[in-house]
Amino acid sequence: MITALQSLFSREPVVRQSLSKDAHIQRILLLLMFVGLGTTIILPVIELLKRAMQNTQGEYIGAENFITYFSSPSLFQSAVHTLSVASITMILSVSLAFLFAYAIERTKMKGKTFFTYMALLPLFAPTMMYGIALVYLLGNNGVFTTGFFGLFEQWFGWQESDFDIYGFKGIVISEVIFTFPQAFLILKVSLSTADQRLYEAADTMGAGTLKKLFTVTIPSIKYGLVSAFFVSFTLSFTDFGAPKVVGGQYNVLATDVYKQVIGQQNFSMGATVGIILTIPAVIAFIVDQRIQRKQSSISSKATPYKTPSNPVRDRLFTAYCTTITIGIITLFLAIIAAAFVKVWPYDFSLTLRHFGFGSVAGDGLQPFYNSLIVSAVTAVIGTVVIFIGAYLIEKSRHLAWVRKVSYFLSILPIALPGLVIGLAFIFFFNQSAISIPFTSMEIANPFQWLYGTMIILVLANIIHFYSVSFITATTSLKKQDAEYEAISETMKVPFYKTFAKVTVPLSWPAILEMMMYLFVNSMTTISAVVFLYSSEWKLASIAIVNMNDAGDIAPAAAMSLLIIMTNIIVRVAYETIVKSIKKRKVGI
Amino acid sequence: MNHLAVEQITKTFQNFTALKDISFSIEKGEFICLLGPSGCGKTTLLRILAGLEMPNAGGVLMNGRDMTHLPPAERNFGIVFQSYALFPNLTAAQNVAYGLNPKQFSKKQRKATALENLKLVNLEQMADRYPAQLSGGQQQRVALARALAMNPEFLLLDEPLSALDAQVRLQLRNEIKRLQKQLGITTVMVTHDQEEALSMADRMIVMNNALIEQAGTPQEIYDRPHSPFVADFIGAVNFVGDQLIPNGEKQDVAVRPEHVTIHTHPSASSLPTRVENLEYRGSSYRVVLRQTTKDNVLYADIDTDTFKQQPLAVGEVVYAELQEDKVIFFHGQPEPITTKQPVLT
Repeated sequence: MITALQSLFSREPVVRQSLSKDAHIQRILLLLMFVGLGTTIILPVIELLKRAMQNTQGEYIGAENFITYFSSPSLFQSAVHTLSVASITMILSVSLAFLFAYAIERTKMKGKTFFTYMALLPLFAPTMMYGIALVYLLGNNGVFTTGFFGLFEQWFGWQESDFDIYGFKGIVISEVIFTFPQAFLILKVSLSTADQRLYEAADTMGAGTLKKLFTVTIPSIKYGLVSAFFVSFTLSFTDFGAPKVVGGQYNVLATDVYKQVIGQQNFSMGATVGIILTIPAVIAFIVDQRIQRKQSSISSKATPYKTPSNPVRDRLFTAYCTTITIGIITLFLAIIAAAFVKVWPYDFSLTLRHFGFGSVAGDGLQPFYNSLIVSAVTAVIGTVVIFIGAYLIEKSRHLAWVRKVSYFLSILPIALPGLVIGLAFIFFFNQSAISIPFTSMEIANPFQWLYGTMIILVLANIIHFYSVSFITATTSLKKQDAEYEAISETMKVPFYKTFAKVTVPLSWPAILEMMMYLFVNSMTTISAVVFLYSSEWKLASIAIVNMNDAGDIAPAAAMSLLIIMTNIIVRVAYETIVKSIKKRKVGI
Repeated sequence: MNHLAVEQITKTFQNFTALKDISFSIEKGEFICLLGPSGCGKTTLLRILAGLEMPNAGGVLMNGRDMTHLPPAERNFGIVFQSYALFPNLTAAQNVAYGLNPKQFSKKQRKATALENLKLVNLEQMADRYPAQLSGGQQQRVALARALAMNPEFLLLDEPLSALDAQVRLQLRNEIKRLQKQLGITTVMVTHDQEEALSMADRMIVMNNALIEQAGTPQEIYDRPHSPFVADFIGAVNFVGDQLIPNGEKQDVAVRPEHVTIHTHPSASSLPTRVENLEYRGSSYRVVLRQTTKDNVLYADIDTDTFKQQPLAVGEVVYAELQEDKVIFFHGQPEPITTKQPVLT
């Protein structure tokens, strides 16, 4: 860290180049990006830190809030709860995902494409949905709780049983479903590259299957494993949706933040809990940065892995993947049933009336339309801004230190939980005056008008999902020849022309992926926007929580279903477009 | 007046010095090779010439005019990179016409210029192909045509042949050289391949550790290297200082393997050796000799015809003679010592 900082600031004097028009434009864009990232990330976070060190009257009290937090048993208990949920989720999710990814990448099982899509299905749903589905399956009137409404009792003498789904169990199951696709994706990538030579060497030395697993397979995916563990841990540590729906009396940090802020209007304690919520993500962020530096890509001499034939293994893994898939499908079936059944569990005739959302807590279809608009705007503006940002950082040769700091700011949001972004945004955008950091100056807040508008929702979403999109863009840009810009410059072609004629056409798959990612996540997210929406701009995910709170679970399920269907349509559209682009491209 | 002059360029990257006080000049129409091992600063120097990097000190003069501060677009350089850097989504013709400003040239003119330049590299029939449909050698020729399309005053080539197969490399070597002479364009090429530099350059500049070791025609550099580094980097060499000078350093005197002759009988100036190994190289044999009196290894290149007349066998004792007039002295020729009186122990 220190050497990185030193190298950032120690610069030899360099002969100055007179600036061309291109250079001026690039410098202005770079500075705009820098100021933009600083204003939307650093200033709000500073505001959050300040609030955490104030009492409710706004006086500075140092670490008092943290002391209060850890010394009050009811609050401290939430921290213990959250840790238990996240630890168990992490172990379960990574184990299940590892076996699933192994089945996809290292066996000759049939139906791999189908299983892969099934494993990714939970990505399209808001986390509240898993909770709702669990309630319908294992809750008081759930399908399994009631022994399929008494059928099991007739058939097998099954007694009604209480699964005690509200609380720890419900949260953990939801979080495992939520984090499973994420861990699966990471491990799938790790397992997809393997060096056949190592396995051959192990074979010639007579290593058994288990020995090969622990001496070849696991070491070669260790960074992926660490990353999957961290992602599962931090996602379940900070998730708000599932505990909100199936948490019951089991308090966790995320619901505490919400209760402190929305319930008790105790913003300082909300900020304090928010900071505690951020700790694992920050640790994961630091570890991840270190790992990435160490991670050497697979040797270029490696020969691709050839999966040996083993019908028994393939059958076992097929059985495993089928079980998981049935589990996932059951959840979605439960939601579909819940959305269309008149009065669960008394009247199973089908109806569309839950899609009217006419109750008090719902607002008709408006929240769904709002979500569509916010997600589309986030996808378009977010992709444009993030892609141009990544382009400038990666390809410009001007203002080296601005690019370095901007790079850091671009990957920083991955360490910020949505709730914390939301909270920091309220503090920052709702204040009447902004104090400039490290000075005692204050200026009138020029952004205050944003509060309660759609723009702040879009902004929060862009920041919330900035890092992953940024990495997608950067990875794609890094694959393009580093000399394109040099060539254009020596040929007197303005950089924006090369950007439009070469960079963007070569990046279409990445650009579409960014749009799809931003859209899907903006549709499902609740954490950042729960503090920022106004009655005018209520979103679908918020409607789900409100309806669920009001006991309107069927409409909540219906709304979840709308979100899922939209996301699946967007994903299918994305896949189709990408496929046609790849087919069309002769030159690439 | 020099066409292009580099004056006391220094460049450092953080803790690493890439170029230290580099100066040289180029005449109009010359083909210059910057040669050196990787990391010697030669590519950095090329990028400074192009304006893609800025030096920490020093300057670049073109026809006597200081252009150190000029951005790349105002320098009138054409540049070709090792990676070709062709735009994969544009055809060969579109790549070549890329720099032609639509405001200055009509579509027809641009197309004509593109074809004209593709013709220079014998690829006019490939005008509508995409880079992925061309071989590596063809792609690099398109890149060359693209660099020439802007009618640059200078051509900068950054290891243009290093990514190609050996045979294509030889072919393209001749083609570049032919074009360069035909167009009379002043050219600077960076390479780490000594054979390439020897065969292509009018003058070469050998660099090592951020410094210029030696500049001169290929012949001068091969025949009279100024330092052990240059002698060793360009061609093969035997260091024999400790053989010829009393208390001499091994690195003080050198002789190339082709200037070592082998005799079956001793003479006053020959060194008794034993044949340790024979490497057949087609047109010649490289004979590895080990001195019988000392543990020194000496290489001799014997052309195959000579070898056939007088075959050698491993283990055989022979007498090696160093051709007196070809011996290279690095620190001025020491006085009484000639190969006539080798100091043998």
